[in-house]
Order: sequence, then structure tokens, then C-alpha cells
Amino acid sequence: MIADPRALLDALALPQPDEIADSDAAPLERPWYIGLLLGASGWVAGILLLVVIGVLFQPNSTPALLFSGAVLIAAAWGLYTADKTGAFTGQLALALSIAGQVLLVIGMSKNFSSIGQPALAAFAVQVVLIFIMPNALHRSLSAFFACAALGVAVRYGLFVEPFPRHSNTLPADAAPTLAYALAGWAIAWLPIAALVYWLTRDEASWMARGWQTTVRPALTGLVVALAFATLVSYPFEMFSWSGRELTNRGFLALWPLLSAVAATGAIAAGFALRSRALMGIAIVGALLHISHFYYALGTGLLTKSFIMLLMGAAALAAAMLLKRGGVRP
Amino acid sequence: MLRSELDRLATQHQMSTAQIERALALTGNRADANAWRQFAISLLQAAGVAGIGAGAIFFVAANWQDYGVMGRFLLLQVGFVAAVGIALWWPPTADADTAKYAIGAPALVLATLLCGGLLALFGQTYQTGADVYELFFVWALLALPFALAAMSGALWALWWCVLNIALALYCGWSVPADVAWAFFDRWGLNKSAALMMPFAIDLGGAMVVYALADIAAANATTNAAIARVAHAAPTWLARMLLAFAFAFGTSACVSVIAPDIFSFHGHRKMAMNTGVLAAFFLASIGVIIFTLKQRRDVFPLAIVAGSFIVISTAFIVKFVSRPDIGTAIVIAAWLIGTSTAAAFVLMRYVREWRTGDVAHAKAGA
Repeated sequence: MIADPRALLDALALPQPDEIADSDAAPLERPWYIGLLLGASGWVAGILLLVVIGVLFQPNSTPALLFSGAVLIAAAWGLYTADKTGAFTGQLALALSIAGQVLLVIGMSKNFSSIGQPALAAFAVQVVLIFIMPNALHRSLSAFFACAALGVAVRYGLFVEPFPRHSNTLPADAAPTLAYALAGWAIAWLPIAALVYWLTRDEASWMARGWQTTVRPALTGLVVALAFATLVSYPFEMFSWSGRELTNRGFLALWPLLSAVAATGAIAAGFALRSRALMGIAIVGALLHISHFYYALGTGLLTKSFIMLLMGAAALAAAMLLKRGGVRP
Repeated sequence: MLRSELDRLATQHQMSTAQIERALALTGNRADANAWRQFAISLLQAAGVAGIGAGAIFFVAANWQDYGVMGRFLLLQVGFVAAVGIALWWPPTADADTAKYAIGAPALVLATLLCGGLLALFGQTYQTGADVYELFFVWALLALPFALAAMSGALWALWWCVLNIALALYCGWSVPADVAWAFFDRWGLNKSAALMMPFAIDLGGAMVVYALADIAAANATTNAAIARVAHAAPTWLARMLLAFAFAFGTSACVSVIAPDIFSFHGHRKMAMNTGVLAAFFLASIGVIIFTLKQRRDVFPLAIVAGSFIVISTAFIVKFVSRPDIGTAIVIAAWLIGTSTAAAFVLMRYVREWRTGDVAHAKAGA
């Protein structure tokens, strides 16, 4: 396995440059936990800035909201562009951008009747930000939140449900059928899974086009979303701790199980990208989905138990079959 | 070679798709068919064990009456004995080549999960009156031989999770009125001080795992038993324990600074609260010194930094005037400033230690 850039260039029969960037000078991949520290702090700071702006300027009308949001996002973009390394201004830019995004989404979906509407607006804003914000952490966060927003938009767009809800039961005919529940999940998450698959498989192709700075962090966000955002995308039914869950959700109870399968796909994507961090995050996501399945209403625990036992036995049988297939050196 | 470095080289040298494909393969960034097969087997085994373990726990929770008490116990016990039997027949191995396909360790993970299921079923059937934390403590105790036998990072992670749930229930959720509190009352401890117990246990565990991981990385022992234990001590396990430890420690400090956040009323003793803060501060300094000496993993520094940001923000929230717009600005600025400074320092160490690794590897070659 080649670790030295010069040896790699030799192996590829590429000319050695006069000077090759020192590992000291080369841009360094930021470990996931530093990204998490920055992302979490930036988010909380962004929400606080939002409160400050809300109190100081009171942008109530749609144009005022859109204008303030756009100004804050433009300021964030300016800071990111001015300081490409992002060492000092990156956090301020992230906080400004988050405050701007919230204002923009509220402005785009003021007086909404369903939560699907602001979710769709958030999806549009996040997709645009993936391309315009010149910062890897921001692109990863935008990709993650775009997926979560799409999940919420499909969930509350397809399965009509009043928001805020005042009752913990839906009308009898509102409980989705198996086909409808499966289709709803597929509409939200299969395109994202397909995108992750395509980007992972054709990595060399987009690298050759020079899209690394945009696609690489977005792919990270997409993989994390495939593992976790499936949970975020049904925010009001995550766990039955509030005591206000829908008791007749029907086959929507299968969603956590499907999400666990998606998280397993994220583990495979992490393996393909040789990223232990992504694999670890996806494993945590898969375990969370299984515990969510325990709490999901709509079907009995006994049925869930048999489903899990059958799936477990099938997975073990598949592992044995694969093992018997022989491991060629 | 990291993908970020490949990204840079690909741009610098305007590589074609075919060249990048080759570069990915040559640098070990693309798995071949054999690696995918190994991965698929491990993934399917893990999914199978998780599925059957979860299914068993769901089954106990369903409290199915049709099978009667004996039937339910028998079902779980047959599964438990089968899992232990499989592990005895195909024992876990530390040998890297055979371990990839060994079924002994996954079987012991399943046995550990079923052990918890059996305990829950026992508590559910006979209404023992035991607290939930007792179930988890007993579960951890009974599963300890499996963790020792499996010598697998995954099973140790599961075991530590069970123990931490027990500790969280015991120290975090129980209140002075509980019988469980008798132990702390004897020592005159308050809840913040009690939270330092899991902090110390997890921190000790993390340090042991880090030390073992170092032994494994350096092949620094000829003792077969220590080498076997060391190979079951991955760095991620040490990080997980450190995260648990600092979650408890940070909660303890925040509860000292702002007791109303956790509803920790009563038992407030100034000297003890100062002791909690001092102990946490000293332990954090110890972690920093340990990490700077090891020069291997930056994660402990990041967790100390994160903890400091949370505790200092709680301090500002509590003591800087009343909640108004000025406080919001101060907190936002504090969060931006501290996280930026932390990231700056942490990235410096990431760079320095990685450069040191590269230089060391070149010298070795």
C-alpha cells in the first residue's frame, strides 16, 4: 500500500512536480469530533444570534424576514470567502448562516398550515447552500439538514396530519396501508440512498472533474443523514416519551426498521470510503433505529419480536452462506 | 494516504478517472472483492446477533401469556445455552486471520443480550421489587465472564454500556429518598459528588484501554495473555469511555453551578461542591498531561475542551446578570470564541502528531 505522494506519482507514471506540498502545508482533514464540537457550538450560537436579531430588529413581515435572512447568509458567505482556512471567522460565519437560514425559512413559509411547507422551504435553502457556501463543515451540515427536511416534507406532505396536533389518535381511515407507508419511506430516502451509492461508486469520476471541495463534504453529510436523519425526519414520533403519540399509525411503525436498513447501508458507504468515523456513526444510528422500533406504535411487541428474530436469523444464515462460498486469498 | 491528500493530488496533477481509480486502489482507499466479502460477513453476523438479541428483548417486553412462565423461560434459556455452546465449540480467537470469520465472539455478544433478557423476564415474572439499576448491575456482573472470554472490543463496549446505564440510574436518577441513597448518605455525599463516581470509573477504564491500545500498537509485550487483552482494546473503546466519563463529570459540574437545571435541590454543601469542581478540574489536567505525553490521539483534548465550553457557558448563564439580550450576545460570542480557539489548538496537535507519525514511518522504512 502506498503512503507517500511521490511514490504514488511514480506508480502512476506522472511527472514529479518541482515541489510537492509538505504534509505540514497540506490541508488537513478535520477529525469528526472537532467538526462536531464546531458544529454544535456554531448551532447554539446561531440560535442565540437569531434571538438577538429577533429582539433587536423584529423582522415580522415576509420581506423583512427574507431580507434579514439573505443579509445574514451573505455575511456568512463573505466571511468564509475572506478567510478560506476558516480558522478564526468560520464559527461566526456558521452562526450567522444558521440564524439567516431560520429567518429565510420562516419568511418563505409564513402562516404555514402544515409542517411540510417550511420543511420544503428548508430543503430548498439547504440544497442551494451546499453549492454556494465555500466551507466543508457547512456543506456537510447543509447536506444533512437537506435530507432531514426532505424526510419531514414527505412525511407530513404525504400523510396529511394537522400540526400542531391536539389529539393522539388519527381518524381510522388515516392510518397508512403497507403499500402507502413503504412508498412514503421510499420517496424520501431511496433517492438519497441512490445518490450515496452513485457518489461512492463514481468517486473517481467526480474527482477527475475537480468537484472534491463540494461533493466530498456533501457526501459525508449524506451518509450521516442516511444513518440519522431518518430519525430526525419524524420528529414528533421519535420515542413515546411525551405520551402524545399516534396510537393508530398503522404501517408507519415499519419506518424505524426501514431506517435501520438505511443505516446499515450507511455503514457500507463508510466502509467504501474507508472512514471508521462514518461507520461508527452509522452503527450508532442503526442501534437507535432498533430502539425506536421498540417504541413505535402501530403494531404489537410480539409481532416486532418475531420480525427482529426472523431478520436476525436471515442475516446469520446469509453470513454462513457467504462464508461457505469460500474466502479466496 | 488519506482521501483529502488524494483530492489535493488529483487536482494538482489533473488526474484522469482511470488514474484516480488506480490511485485509490494503490493507496488502500478502495476495497477489493475479498475485503467486501469479509466486511459483508462481519456486517451480517453483527446484524444477525443484534436482530436476535433485540427480538429476544422485545419478546420479554411483550409479556406473551400463551406460553406460560416455563415456556417463556425455556425459550430464552435454550437460546442462551445455544449461544454459550456455540462460543465453547468455536471459541473466540485473537488471531487476526481466523478472527475475521470466528463466530465465538458474536455468540457471546448474543449470550450477553439474552442474559439481560432472562434477568428482565425474571424480574417481570416474580416481581422481585428490585430497582432497575440492580438489574443492570447484576447483568454487568453476570456478563463479565463473557466479556473476558470474548476478548472483543464490541463485547467490551456492550458491557460498558450496560454498566454505565446501571451507574446512570444509580447515581443520576435516584433521589435522596431512595434506599439506594443510603450508601451516599453514609458518606454525606450530595448528588453532584455521586456523579463523580461513574466519572472516575469510566475515566479509569478509558486510561486502561488507552494503555492497552498502546501496547497493541507497539507490539510491546511478549506476554501472550497481555497481548491477547491488548488486541481487544481498540482506541474507539477508550474514546467511548472517555465520552461517558466526561458526560458524567460535566453533568456533575453543571449541577454544582446551576442546580436548578437538574432540579438538584437539597444537600447543597459548599465545601463538597468546591471539591467536585476541583476534582473534575484536576482530573481534566491529568487527562491533558496523559494525552500530551502519549502524542497519539487528540480526542481526549477535544472532549476536555467541549466539557470546558459547556461548564463555562453554564457559569455565564447562571451568573451574568438576568436573561436579556446582552446575555444572549455574550453567550453567543463566548461559544464562537471558545470553540474557534479550541479547534485551532486541537488542529495544531492533529497536524503535529500526524507529521510525527509520517516522519517516524519514513525513518522506519
